[in-house]
Amino acid sequence: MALLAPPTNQLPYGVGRFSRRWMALIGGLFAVVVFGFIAYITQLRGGLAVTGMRNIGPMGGATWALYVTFIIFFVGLSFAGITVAALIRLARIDTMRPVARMAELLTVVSLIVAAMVVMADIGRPIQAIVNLFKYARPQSPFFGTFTLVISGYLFASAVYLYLDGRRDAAVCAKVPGRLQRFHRIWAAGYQDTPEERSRHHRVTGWLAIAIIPLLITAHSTLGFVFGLQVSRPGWHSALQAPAFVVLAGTSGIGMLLVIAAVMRRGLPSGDQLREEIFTWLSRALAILVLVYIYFVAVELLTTIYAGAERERAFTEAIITGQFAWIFWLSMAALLGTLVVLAVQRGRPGISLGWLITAGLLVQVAAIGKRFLVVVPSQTDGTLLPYGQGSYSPTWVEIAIILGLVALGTLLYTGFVHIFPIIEIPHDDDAVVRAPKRAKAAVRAPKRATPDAPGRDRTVTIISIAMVVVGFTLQIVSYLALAAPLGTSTTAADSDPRLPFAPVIFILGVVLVFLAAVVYELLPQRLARRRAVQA
Amino acid sequence: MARYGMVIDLERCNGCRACMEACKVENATPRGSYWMYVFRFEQGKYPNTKVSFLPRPCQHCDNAPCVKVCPVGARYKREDGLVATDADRCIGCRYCEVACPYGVNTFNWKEPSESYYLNWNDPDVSKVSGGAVPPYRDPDLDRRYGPEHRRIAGGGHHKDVMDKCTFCVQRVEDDRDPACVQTCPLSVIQFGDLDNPDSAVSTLVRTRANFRLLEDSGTDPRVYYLGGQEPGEQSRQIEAPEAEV
Repeated sequence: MALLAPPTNQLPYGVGRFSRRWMALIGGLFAVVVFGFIAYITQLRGGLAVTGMRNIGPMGGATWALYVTFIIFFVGLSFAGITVAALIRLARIDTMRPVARMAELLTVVSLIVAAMVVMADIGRPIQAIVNLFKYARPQSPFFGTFTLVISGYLFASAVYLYLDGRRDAAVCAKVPGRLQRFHRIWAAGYQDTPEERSRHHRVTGWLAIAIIPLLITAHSTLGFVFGLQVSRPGWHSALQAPAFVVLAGTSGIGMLLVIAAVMRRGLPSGDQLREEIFTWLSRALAILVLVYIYFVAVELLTTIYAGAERERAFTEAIITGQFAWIFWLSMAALLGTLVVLAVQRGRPGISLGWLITAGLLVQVAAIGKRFLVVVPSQTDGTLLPYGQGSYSPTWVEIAIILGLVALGTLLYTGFVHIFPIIEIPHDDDAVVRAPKRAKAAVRAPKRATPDAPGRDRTVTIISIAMVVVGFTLQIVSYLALAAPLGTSTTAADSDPRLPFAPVIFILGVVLVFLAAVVYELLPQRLARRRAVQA
Repeated sequence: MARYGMVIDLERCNGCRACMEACKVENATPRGSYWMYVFRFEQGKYPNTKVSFLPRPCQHCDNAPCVKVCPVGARYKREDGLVATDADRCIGCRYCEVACPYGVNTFNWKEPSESYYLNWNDPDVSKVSGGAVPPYRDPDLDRRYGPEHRRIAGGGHHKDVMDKCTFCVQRVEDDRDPACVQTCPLSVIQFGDLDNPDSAVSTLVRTRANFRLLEDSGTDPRVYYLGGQEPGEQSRQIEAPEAEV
């Protein structure tokens, strides 16, 4: 049994060390969060009238604006996180392993923030939570956003982050200190036996496979929120969903590049983030930026060359009208990213400053493009002669967004200080590199012990049953229990056929991913109980 | 069961907007909120220009995009053809508003008490009124309608919920015409059962050339326009939007 070697008497990567400079940073961020909260209170009291949003049409406004832009932006950031983590696992890119947890954390934090922006945008947040659980209708593209993105995706990412962190938590739990208890709970009795290790690798492998289709679906769903609407020029496009996925990847990888660069500079032994990591990330970023520019070009050409009259007029408004500066700024930022990455590549070594610049430029482009998807279709895209509308955000909207950005940063740096953000290197990573041999090695002694195979099978059966039941619940509640699909003709079509059917769907999603936790944690529980009985 | 619809004769309309006024009075809509809206728009190039008018209530579509996208079923289609908004269930996400090609949805951006025709909390007004705030709440608008008993008449115009033209459900269920129909001095607007071949509206639709707005959106609206022509890409609004709430 390979016991976890306790490291030095200090937690790695600055965990548990709260320097004065860091406290100052936390204080600053906290102040911004409070400012955002005050803005939110203002909005709750005065209603959404305190924002710059107004009705489409007679009021000449945009009813979805800065908040929706940032909902898409934050959900987009989450994309790259878990994708990179899953790819590292599936494609066995060992050089990239140090950024895996940063990526996972980016996903979890940005999804939490995205959910909060939704709450800021929605008129009645309390009713929203209750009514979505009670009445959510599969026919609305929001159903996917609500169940898949917010619940399923966030839960799956949290499970992934949790399970992937258990080994490091076990290592940290050996170090006495204030955080020991927290690390011990996280580790949940992890011993790092070969069996546990192979079990963990099997689980994360399956999770990674399950998460990739989920996140393609989830980001496409967000694209469908717009892409399925015929009423707004600029929205109804088959390219909408793929473009959302690609831009999500672009901004997410860019943010990961920024985070990795900051960590390399700021963390003790941050130089474990080797140059290859940055080369890999910047290459991925460059490719995604090029693909996105291609998408933009295709979209422009299609609508200007052959588009219907309204689509053409609308596209012209995008590139020459009131929001043209945002379009050109975004395009310039995308090209600028490529230029910066090229310059960085041409220099010896890596320049973190240049990489951070590239990563941030991409965020400018991502926010700009999202704004252009959301707003101009409402102000310049009415199909009846309402006249030109306008939109500019008020201080409340900006303060809430800034506050949530600060909150996200706060959560991220807070986590970095209580848990190692880089996977602690282990000398026995043979399991990852040579899984077959390792598994065989694990299995051989297991057969020797009389009660091991039966116990193993119980856990496997339970987990598989959870997955099957989970998917069944999802399918049944989607198709048979929730409100019916299709053109509705009576009031009854607006109610779910079984009350709280959406909860059953979410339960199904949760159950599927909970299976992973059960598969990893249950064997120890059983072993412990047996030990007690003995 | 009757399935209601509206017929609007554009050859009669002179853009007086009495229907808008009647709608505001009947439904007590807040400032900036027009459930009925009359377009005044211009077409053509000088000197061959023409000003046209087009009253635009909610189209009460049979394949309503707003009903499709509502995440909680607050917006729903009634068996009598009306598209209704349940104020109790609405969560204020405003998806119906972006999905609607006609721009008929009006969101309640704030608690409307201070922004009706007169701001009763204004110090100058309260000097005269002695601080009294008249009752705005029309009990008819607060009632529950239809066999499903849901509050769909827009009573109270609660902050953060969506509103739109209800075809005056409180009058229709009482066998009266909607307010705009009753008020129009030129009988531009007709209301009735489109499923009954002998009704006035069915006869008009059958005997006169007509169109429906943005039919290629596939929304299948229940409002028919007689005479005139559908506004196109070249139509220009001749007045600025009012963004104050």
